[in-house]
Order: sequence, then C-alpha cells, then structure tokens
Amino acid sequence: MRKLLFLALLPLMLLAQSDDDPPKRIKSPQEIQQELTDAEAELEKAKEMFAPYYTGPLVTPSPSMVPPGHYVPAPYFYVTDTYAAFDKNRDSHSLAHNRLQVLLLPVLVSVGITDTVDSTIVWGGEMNWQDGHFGGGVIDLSAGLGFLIQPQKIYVPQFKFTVQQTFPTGKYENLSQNGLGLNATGGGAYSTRFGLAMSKLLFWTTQHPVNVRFFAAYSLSTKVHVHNFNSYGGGFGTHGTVKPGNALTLDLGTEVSLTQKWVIANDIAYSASNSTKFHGNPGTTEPGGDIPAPIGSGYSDNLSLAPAIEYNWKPTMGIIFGAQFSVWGRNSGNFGSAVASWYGVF
Amino acid sequence: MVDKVGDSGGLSSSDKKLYKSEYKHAADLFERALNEDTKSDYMFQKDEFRKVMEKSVEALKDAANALNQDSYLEQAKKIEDDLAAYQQDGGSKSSIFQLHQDLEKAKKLR
Repeated sequence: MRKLLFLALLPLMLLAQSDDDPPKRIKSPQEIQQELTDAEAELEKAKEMFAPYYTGPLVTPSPSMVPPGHYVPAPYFYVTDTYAAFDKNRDSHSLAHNRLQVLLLPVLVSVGITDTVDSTIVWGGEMNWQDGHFGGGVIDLSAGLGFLIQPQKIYVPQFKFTVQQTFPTGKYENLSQNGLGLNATGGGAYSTRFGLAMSKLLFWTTQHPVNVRFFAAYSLSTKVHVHNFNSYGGGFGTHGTVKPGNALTLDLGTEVSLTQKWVIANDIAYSASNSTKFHGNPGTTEPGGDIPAPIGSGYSDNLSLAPAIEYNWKPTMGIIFGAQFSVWGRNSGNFGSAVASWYGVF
Repeated sequence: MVDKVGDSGGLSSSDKKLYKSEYKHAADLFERALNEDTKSDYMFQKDEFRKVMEKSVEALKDAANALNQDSYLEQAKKIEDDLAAYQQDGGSKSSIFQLHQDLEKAKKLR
C-alpha cells in the first residue's frame, strides 16, 4: 500500500522539486553582452528624458492638487462670436446679427488647504454686443473644493473629486426689453456640480510625452423665481418659476509636448442639459399684447473643440493661447472663441 | 573567501575572461544608473533608471552563475539585496552608500 502511494505521488514530488529548484541555464557571454548593450541603450534613453511642463488644455480641468499654503491664479480671457444657432434637429441657422461676447475671469484662483484638499474660486464679468446693443455685468460666482482620490503613479492615473457651488451673483431677471438678453450674466439659481477629474502622462520615455485629462461632471440647480425678461426668455409681465435642467459635462483634454516648454493641446468638450421648465405667467412679447413670450427650453447639447498652444517658462508657470469652436449641437449656440490664459504657482 | 575548486573549470580561459569583464561592466552600468537615479526627482525617469539597475543585477547574476565562483556569486547577491533595500527605503543615504561600496568591491574582484 505504502509502495503504491509512493508511486502515485512520485510524479508530483518530482514536479514540486523541479518547481522549487529549476535548473539554471548558463547564458553565453554573447547573450549577456547583448543584455548589457540593451541596458546601456536604455540608460542613455532615460538620461534624455525630461519632466514636461504643462499649463493644461483650455477646457478640461486638472486633477492636480495645489500644495498647502500655496495658491494658483489662472485668469482667463475669452472673445466669443456666436454666429449661428443649432436647432432641435441639429441644423445650424445663421443669426441675423452675430453676438459678440468678451468674458473675463480675473478671479480663478485655487488654494491648497491640505495635501489632499484644495479649493477654487471663479468669478468675473462679461460684456455682450449684438445688433447695436450692449449689455454686461458680473457673472455668477462659484466656489468649490477638490479632494484627491488617487495621486498619479507610473501606471496609475491621478483622480480628484470636486464639488463646486455656484451663487447667483449675476443678473438674471428684469433684463433690457430688447429681448436680446445681453445683460443676462447669471442663471439666478444655486447650482451644485459634482465632478471627477483624471489625468495620466503617457509616452514618458519619448521626446514627446503626452498628458491626457478627462473630466466628467453633473450639476443640479435650484428653482429660480423670474420676472419679466430673464435669462430663460420671458417678456412683458412674466412672472413664475423656472427649473433649470440638470447638466452633464464631459471633457477630454490632450497635451503633446513638442519640447519641455512648448506644448500643443486640444480639448473635446461636450455639454448637455435637460429641458428647462417654467411654471407661471409667461408674459407677452409686446406690452399689453396677446402673444405669449417664449420661456424655458428643450434638451440642449453642444460639442466643441479647443486647439491651443502653450509655453511654460518653468514647471510652475505657463501661458496658453487657443480657440474653441462648436462642431455639433442641439438648441445651442454655434460659436467660435479666442481664448488666452496664464497660470503661476505661488 | 575561497572559490570552489574547479568550479568554472568547464569554461575556456577566454570565456572566463569575457564573463569577468561583463560582470564588471554590469557593476559599472549599475553604478552609473544609480548615480543618475539619485540626481533625478522625476518619477517616470527614476523608474527607467531603476529598470536599468535591475537589468544590471540580472547580468551580474548571469555572469556570476557562469563563472560559478563564490566571490562573484556572493557579491552579486549582496548587490541584489542592496538594490531591494534601496527600493524599499526610497533611496536613503545609507542604502546608497552600501550599494556604492558593494559595487566597487564587485568591480575589483579578480
């Protein structure tokens, strides 16, 4: 019986022994020489690597954290020409008069709180021109917190969760009676946006590393009481409540290093918003008229591209110029923008 | 340290010379990668230098196995252990010092 058991287990014992102590193959001098030659080449290639500097593409937010005790101003300047509008069938129709907008975001500052928490404040103003009319003012202020989920590692992207609250500091009701909405600089709602930002450096061993960012966010807004001409439409005698649609944002940003300091970038930016509903008296298009004023809107979305070029003096300071233009949309503006921004870590 | 008697007796003297030269080359390559690694603070570059160090250790071990001499085998093992310590403690001064010492010894083996 014992003999039988031994014979049955013998192959397993031999296998186990060979696993524990595999015979070592002696490599030839030529094989070792080849390995060393390859490793020498890898060392030379590694020595030529550089840490690329990035300002960040124009649109997609960064998951980078501001170190505690430091702050990062990143003012933005936009000039936008809205020359057409996408209808509900995604057909673009030229506007009778282009709308020109200058948007200044001098207050775009991130402040480091701890190694894993930072905050961002965004505020500014806009000026709008259309058909010989002008309007503008301060926009809605937003403030938020960012939480580091995962720092970037060699093969692991960086992830950050953000919560951004918008406060209705812009004008949104009792607007000019020309119906152009040029002095509509806010939405009147308290909006909360939850976002997830990701980034990963790719091709780091090459002379042209690529940094990829992705951002997804969803925002919800409170109801807004509106009177007369307002950010959502309306007219003479309008009064009621607007429920802005929840909004989805998806951005994919790519930065390709030409050199350590010069970078080309592009964003693919998509935003979508559910229909905005109104309850109340829509008012009329003319004083004392009987044609109801339009208010609210259907589902809308917009896809745009934002190519740009960056120059970074150092890892903590850079400038970016570029354009952003819509390529596809529904119930949204068809626009082209020139954009410039600068950032520095202090 | 006493080498095994007749341990690399199967090798021709020219092969023995080649393996010894490659052993020293591997130690030298390791040391150059180590020096670059300690100068760099760029995570992705450091990872590449560490890969070179790991390949150098493999070459050291391969050459030592072929030579089958205790002094070469033990020094290769020491360097392998030093590298593990260096990687574990994130490159402390003491682990760098130990690596340099053992690499210099490896280069001086006869």
